[in-house]
Amino acid sequence: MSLFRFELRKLMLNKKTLIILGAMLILYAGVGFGTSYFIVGDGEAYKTYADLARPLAGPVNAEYAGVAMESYETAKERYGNNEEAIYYGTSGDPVLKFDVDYAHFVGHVDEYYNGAPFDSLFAPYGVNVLQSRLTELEQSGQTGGFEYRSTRDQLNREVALGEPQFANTLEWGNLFANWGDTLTLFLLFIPLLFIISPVFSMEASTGMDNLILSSRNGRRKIVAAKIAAVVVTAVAILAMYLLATFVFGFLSVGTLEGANAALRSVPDYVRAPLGFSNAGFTAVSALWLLLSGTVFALIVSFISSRLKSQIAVCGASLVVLLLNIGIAALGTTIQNMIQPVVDFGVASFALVGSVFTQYKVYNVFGMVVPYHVMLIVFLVLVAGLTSFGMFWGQKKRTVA
Amino acid sequence: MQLQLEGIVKNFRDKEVLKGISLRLENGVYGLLGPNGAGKTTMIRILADILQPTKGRILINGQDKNACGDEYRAKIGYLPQDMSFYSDFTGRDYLEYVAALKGVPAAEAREQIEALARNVGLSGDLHRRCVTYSGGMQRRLGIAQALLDNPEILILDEPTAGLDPHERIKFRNIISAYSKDRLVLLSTHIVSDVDSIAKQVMMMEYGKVERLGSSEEYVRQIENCVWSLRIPVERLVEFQNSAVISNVVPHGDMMEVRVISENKPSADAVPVTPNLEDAYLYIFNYLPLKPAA
Repeated sequence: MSLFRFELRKLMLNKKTLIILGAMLILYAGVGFGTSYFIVGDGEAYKTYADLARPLAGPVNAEYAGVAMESYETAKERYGNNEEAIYYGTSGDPVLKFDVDYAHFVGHVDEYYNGAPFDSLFAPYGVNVLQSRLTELEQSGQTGGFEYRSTRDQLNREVALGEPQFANTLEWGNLFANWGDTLTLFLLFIPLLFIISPVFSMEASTGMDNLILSSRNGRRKIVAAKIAAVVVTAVAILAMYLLATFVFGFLSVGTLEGANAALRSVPDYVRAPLGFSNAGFTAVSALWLLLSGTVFALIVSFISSRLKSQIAVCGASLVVLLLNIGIAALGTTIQNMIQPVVDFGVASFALVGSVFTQYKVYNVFGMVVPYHVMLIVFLVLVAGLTSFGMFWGQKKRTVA
Repeated sequence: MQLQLEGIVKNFRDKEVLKGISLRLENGVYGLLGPNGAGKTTMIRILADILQPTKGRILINGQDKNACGDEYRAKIGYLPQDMSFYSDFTGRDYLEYVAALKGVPAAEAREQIEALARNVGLSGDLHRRCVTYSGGMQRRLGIAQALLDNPEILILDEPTAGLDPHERIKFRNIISAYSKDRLVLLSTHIVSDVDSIAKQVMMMEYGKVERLGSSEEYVRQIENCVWSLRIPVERLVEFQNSAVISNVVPHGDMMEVRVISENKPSADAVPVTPNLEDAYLYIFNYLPLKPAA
C-alpha cells in the first residue's frame, strides 16, 4: 500500500472518522431539507408561492408592485419594521410572503438606478449615482485615476447586466445561503478543521515521528502523501456538504424552478456583478467552496505541522477561522483600519456570500482587479506557502 | 560499512548532553552501556537522523551523512526506546506502513513481512491490532519493523525491554545471525544481552564514550575484584550501603552476595570469575568520569 493510501486511512478512512462523516451527512441532509422546506411552510405553500411568482417573472409589473407595497405595509403593521421579524412572521403565509418579496424586489430595482441611503460614499451603487460620479470626475479632470476607471467599469457592468428581473428563486437563494453564510463556517469548516487537525500533530503525540523521521521517505514523500490525503479528505467533506444540501434542499420541493433565472434575481445577489444564471452560479459556488475549503485545510495542516497537540492545532485553527468575526466585534472603525485582514481572512474568502454579492475591486499598480481575482491569487499563494512550509518543517524536524 | 562520528556535540539550551564523541564503527554488534542520563538515547537519535548534532559530523563510508540525504536513512533500521502505534493498525498494517516509509515495493514488502513475522514469532498475530499486543509482542513487532528492507545499519534502543527470557534469547540469535555483514548498535540496560553478542562494548557516561573494548577486555580489567561471601539476612541492607553488590542468592538464613571490590571485603570472601555485568558495575562505581566543574 502506498504512503498516500495509509495517510488517507489515518485521516479519513478509519472507523472513527467514517462514523463522524456519517453523522455529518445526516446533519447536512437535515440542514438542506429543513432550511428549504420551511422557507414558506410546507410543499403546498411553496406551490402557492410559485404559482403567484410564475406570471410575474421578468421586469417590474407596476400594477402588482402597488398591491405588493400595500401588503408589505400590512406586514410591517403586523410584525414591526424589523425585516427579520417580517421574514419569519410571513414564512407560514405564502401569499403575504410573496408580496413582501415582490415589494423588496421593487425596491431593488429602484436601488439599481438610484442606490440606497445606506450605501457608503466609498462604495457607490446605482446606475444614476455612478453616472453622476463619473461626470463629477470628468468635470474635475480626474479621468486618469483609479476611481474613474473602476467607477466606469462598474457602470458598464451594471448597464450590461441590466436591471434585476423577478423570478421565483426561493430555493436557490436558500442554497446560496447554505453555501455562503456564516453558518457554513460552523457547519462545514469547523468539522473539516477537526478532521484535518491531527494530520501532522498525531505523529508527535503518538510518538510515531521517531520512525517516520528516521526512514527514507519520512522527510519528503510523506509530506506529499499527507498533503494529497488532506486535499482528498477536504474535497470529500466539501463535496458531501455541497451535494447533501443541494439534493435534500431541492428534494423538499421537487423542482429546480428558477435554475435558468439570472443570479441577480436572488435578493442577496441582486448587486452581484456577475451574469450567471442560478445554475451557473451553483457550479461557480461549488468550485469556489472546494477551492477555499481545500486551502483552509492546507492552513490547518500547516498549523498541525508546527504543533504537537491536536487540541492546540484546533485552537489555533479556530482563531484563524473566526478571526473576522472577532474583528467585527471590535467595531467598524477598527475593521476599516485593517480592511485587508478582513477581506483576506478565512471567513471572507471561504464564503461565496462575501465574495460575489457586490462589485468590489482593488487597485493593483493602477489596475482595476476584481476582489475574486485577488482572492484566487491569494489562495494559490497561501496553498503554495503552506505546502512549502510543511516540506521545510518536516525537513528540519527533530525529536528531542 | 563504516560509520564514523567526529566530535559530536549536542547541547539542549545551555546543557551539553554529548561532549565531543568521536568513534569509528564497522560491521558487527556494538553494545552501548551507561547509566540513565549518560546521553545514550541522544547519541542514538543523532545516528538515526532524527536529531541534529550541535557540532561535529557523521561520515558513512567516508561521506558526510548530510550529503547523502534520504539515502543515509535508507541504510538505517531503527527501533526507538518507546514504541508507538496507531490505534486502528493491525500488526500487518504497521509493518506495511513502515515498509512504505522505507520505500520497499509492495510485493517485496509482503514477502519480507511474512519472513520477519516468522522470525519474531508473530505470524499468527499480524491480523490483530497492535494495541492489543502484549509488551513483548509489541517489542518483537518493533524489531521486525527495524529489520525491514534489510538495513546496513541497525540501531536498537532498549530492544529487549519487556521481553521474557525465551524471547530475549531468540532476539539475540536473530541479531547475531543478522550482524554478519551489518553494523548493529545496541543500547541497553541489560548487560547480559550485550555480553553474549557484542564484539565491542562502549561505556558511556556524562555525554562521553570513554571506553570501547571487547567483553573479554573489560572482564580482564577486574580480575581479582569480584568476590563471593555469605552474610546473614539482617546485615544485607547495611552491607549494600557500603559495598557494590552485583548479585544476591538466598541460602537458608544466609545470603550469598557477589561483591565488586578492589580489596577483599571480608576475611571469608572468596574470589570468583568476573563477567561483563561485574565490569559495568566496577567501571561506573569505581572509575566514574566526573563532569567538568
